[in-house]
Formats: sequence, C-alpha cells, structure tokens
Amino acid sequence: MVRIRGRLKLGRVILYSILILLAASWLLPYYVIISSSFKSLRELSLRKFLEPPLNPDLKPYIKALKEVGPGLINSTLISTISTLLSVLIGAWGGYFLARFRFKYAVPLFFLIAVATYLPPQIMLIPSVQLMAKLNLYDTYQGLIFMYTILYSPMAALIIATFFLAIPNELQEAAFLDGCGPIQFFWRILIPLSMPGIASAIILIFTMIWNEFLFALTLSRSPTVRPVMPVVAALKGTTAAEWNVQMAGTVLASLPPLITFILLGRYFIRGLLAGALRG
Amino acid sequence: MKANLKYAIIFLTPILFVTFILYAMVLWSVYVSLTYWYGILPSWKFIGLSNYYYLIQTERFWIDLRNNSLWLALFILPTTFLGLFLAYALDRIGKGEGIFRAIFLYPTALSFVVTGNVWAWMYDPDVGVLNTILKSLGLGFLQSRWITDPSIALYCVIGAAVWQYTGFAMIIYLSAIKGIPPAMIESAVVDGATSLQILRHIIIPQVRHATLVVTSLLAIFALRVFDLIWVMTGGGPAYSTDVLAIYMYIATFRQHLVAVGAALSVIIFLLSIVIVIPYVKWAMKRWLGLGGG
Repeated sequence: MVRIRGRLKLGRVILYSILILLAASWLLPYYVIISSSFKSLRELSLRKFLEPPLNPDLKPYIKALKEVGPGLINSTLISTISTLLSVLIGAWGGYFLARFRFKYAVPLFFLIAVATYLPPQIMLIPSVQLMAKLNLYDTYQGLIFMYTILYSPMAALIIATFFLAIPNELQEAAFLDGCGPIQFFWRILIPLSMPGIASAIILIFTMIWNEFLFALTLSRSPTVRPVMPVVAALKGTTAAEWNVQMAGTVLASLPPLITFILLGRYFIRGLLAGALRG
Repeated sequence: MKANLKYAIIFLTPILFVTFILYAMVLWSVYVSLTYWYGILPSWKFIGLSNYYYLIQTERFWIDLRNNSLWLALFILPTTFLGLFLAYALDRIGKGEGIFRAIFLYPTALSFVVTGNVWAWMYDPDVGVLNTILKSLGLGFLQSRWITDPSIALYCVIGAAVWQYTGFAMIIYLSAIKGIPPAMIESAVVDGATSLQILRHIIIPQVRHATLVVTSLLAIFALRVFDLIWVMTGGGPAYSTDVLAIYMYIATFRQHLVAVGAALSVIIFLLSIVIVIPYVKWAMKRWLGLGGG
C-alpha cells in the first residue's frame, strides 16, 4: 500500500511539472505581447521579453487607439447586432426543429448543420456580388446582413441542442393550459434556456468579432471596417513600432478574452454544442 | 408534438431563408467557376471545366494541395495528441483543473489575426522572442530564421495553429473522459493497472467518439485555413506556406481571375464536404438521436 502511494505521489509530481511547463509555454506568447505593449521602443530594443515593463508606458496604447479605435467601435456595433439577429433567428427556428415532429425535421436539421460547417471561401465571391447588387458593399448593414446569414445556422444548431434536452411534458402541459407555441417560446422556453442562449450569444459574438475574411473583403472605409482587418494591417501602417502593433493587438483581443475569463463556462458549453457534441 | 403548417411557416421561414441563401451561394460559386469571368465585371459566358483544367496545370495549385495535406497531418496529429494528454492529466490532478483548463483554452477565444500577430513577433528572426530567449538560455545554435526560412516556415505556422487549437481538442476530450463511469477506472486500479494501462485500455477506447469529433473538426479547419497564414507570411516565402485558401483570395481579388478563384473555392468546398457530410450524419445520430436507425 505504502509503495503504491509512493508511486502515485511521484507520478503526481511529474504530472504537475509537465503541466506547469506546458501552461507556462501556453501563456508565454500572450504574456510577451502584453508586457511589450507597455514598453517604450527604447526599452523594447533591450529585448528582455520575459521581464515586465520597467516603467509602464501608455503611449503605445494612445497611438494604437488612434489606429484601431474606429475599428473597435465598428466591430462592437456589427458583432453585437449580428449576434443578436443570428441568435434570434436560430432560436426561433431551432425551437420548431427540436420540439415538433414533422416529416422534414431531420433533413432540415441536416441541411442547417452542414451549412454551419461550409468553408467560408465558397460564399465569398457571391457575397461580394450580392453586396454590390443590394448596394450594401462597405456598409454596416452589409456586414450585419452577411454575418447574420453566416452564423444563424450555427446559432440554430447550438440552441436546438439545448432545446432538445427540455422535457416534452413541459410543452404538453403548457399547451393544455391554452398556451400557444409563440407564447410558450417567449414565456417559458427562452427563460428556461437562458444558459443555452447565453452560450450561443457568447460563442457567436466571439466568432464574429474574430472573423477576418469577410470583414476584409466586404469593407474598405475606416468608418465601416471591423477591427480585425485593421489589426492585420498594423504591420504596414505602424512600420517598426512593434509596441504599437502589440498594443493594437491586445486591444482587439480584449472583448472576447474578457468574456472568456468572466463567462468561460458558457463559452465551453457553446463550443461543445457547436461541435454537435450535444 | 405534431406540427401544423401555420406554425411551421411562422417558425421556419427565417432560418430557411438564411439556409437557402447559403446554398444558393454555393451553387452560384459553382456556376462562376464554369464561366469566363476574368476582370472586374462579371461575365457569364459558360466555358465548362476550363478553369479547373487551367488550375491543374499551374504549379502553385499542386504546391497548395501538398501544403494543405501537410496541414491535415501535421496540425491534426499533435493537436489531438496534446489535447488528449492534457484532458487526461487535468482529469487526474483534481486540484488546479479549472485554472489549467482556462490557460490552455484561452487561445481558442482569440482571433487568428491576433494569434498571427503574436506568433509573427515570437518568430521574427531579427528582433523576435524565440531567438532572443534561445540565445539567453545559451541555446544560440537553435536560433533560426523561422517563418522567413522556406524550408521550415510551414511548420512554424502550423505550430501557431496547434497552440491555438489544443485547448479545443482538450475540452472535447475532457467532457468525454468525464463521461466514463468512474467504477470502470476504479476496478482497473484495484486490479493493479498502471496509469499507462488505464489510458491505453480504458480511456482511449472510451473516448473514441471524441477523437472522431476532434479530428473531423480540425480537418475541416485545416482545409479552410486562411487568416493565420495571411497575417504571418502571406503564403511566402516562395509559396512555402501557400494554401488553397490563400490562392483563392489572390486569384479572385489581386489577379482578378474571379472564375479561377471560384474554382478554387469549389475545390475547398468539395474537399471539406467529404468530411462534413459523414460527420454531421454521425453526430446527429450519436448525440441528438436524430436520423434513421
């Protein structure tokens, strides 16, 4: 018995050491850009990357904010509205798919799930043409329209997996009491499924905020362009000012990161449901 | 609950509209790939498979196909392996599980653009972090040109993707491992099984479905990868990190060979759909109880 315990203890020490080493290397890249973003160019040139800034300098952030500030505002507006629309459309349709039995439920669910995993490239050229036809190229409305279309299927998928877990008796009882499907949806289902809705909102917001290809393709002017293409272009606009690039990168990553730190549980549930991993 | 037509129309119209547009776009791309659209303005002249024929004659297409295949192998294997290891380790340690989980998962919440900028800075050969750290550790001989060296640039970019996706693999495995009845592992421990034996004979077979989820989704990603490469290397040096999605963007928006770009998008689509369709069918049946049988 003692020998087994001893062995287990040693195993634990080794396991912890490996984990701590890996965790450190997982934190290192982000730590380095945060600490670099507070350093002056002169301090940065000392290349002491592992050391925290000597006297934290906010100038890189002030400069970076000038570059990415409009992008942050654009992304906030576009991501928030598109997320809410996608989740609304997804929940509305997901309810019917999950809670009603009809002939085409399974094929429809299948089509929506496949649409979730389509590579974005196959939609890219048509989306440019569609935006041109609708006069929505380089507008908030255009990007919101495209993101809503791209992410509603995923919202439906995530939310439907949560709806599927709600007992049938609940709906039957509500219907017997004279409650219609629309009332049931708003008054009972949505309040009961708040964790599922929150997961969908958080995951989809993160995905739209982080999206690059459509943001790059469907916008041009600084008053519309979301933050990711702006950050991707920082290398060109701020030349050798690494600290400004790092500050801009940190700023652009903050909203999803803060959400993840505060509401990680929902983010994880969303990830699992989005992987169709129920 | 049985459905009636009125409510079917009310509830399904928006999501059907959206899904319809998506599939219409797929068909639209397929059609564009069969036309003579080279230039800014659309041309709908039908020319059959010529654009595909053109592609298979370009060297770049084959380089990209090779690079995407390398992505499939070199991205999926380490990410899956590390994800499984971390999930197993985190499940065992008990104390500190939450904080470790957050540390490995946070890159999943970042944009590829952010990851690309971060790792471009790590890999920068002259002022970058890796070379500096290696030098200060007395490992100067390991210094390298990283993403500017065509012979290893591809592996460097894949490395950044592994960093970003390991947490995702871990979380899928973790939820699978939590689903294994504890009695199974306890009785193996009583029988004197070592950790390695438990991992090999109980955990790995029991999480086979998670392996399918992880590898399928990572494969779908490896076929469409764009942002990370675009930000880190732009496909260079000398096409060494170029992939189908980069070529697709360049052909469409830089070379204005829109029909060729469409053909590339169709190829990416076909390669993905080979994985997506069986995956969705299987997942719907396995977890949602939807689908025949």
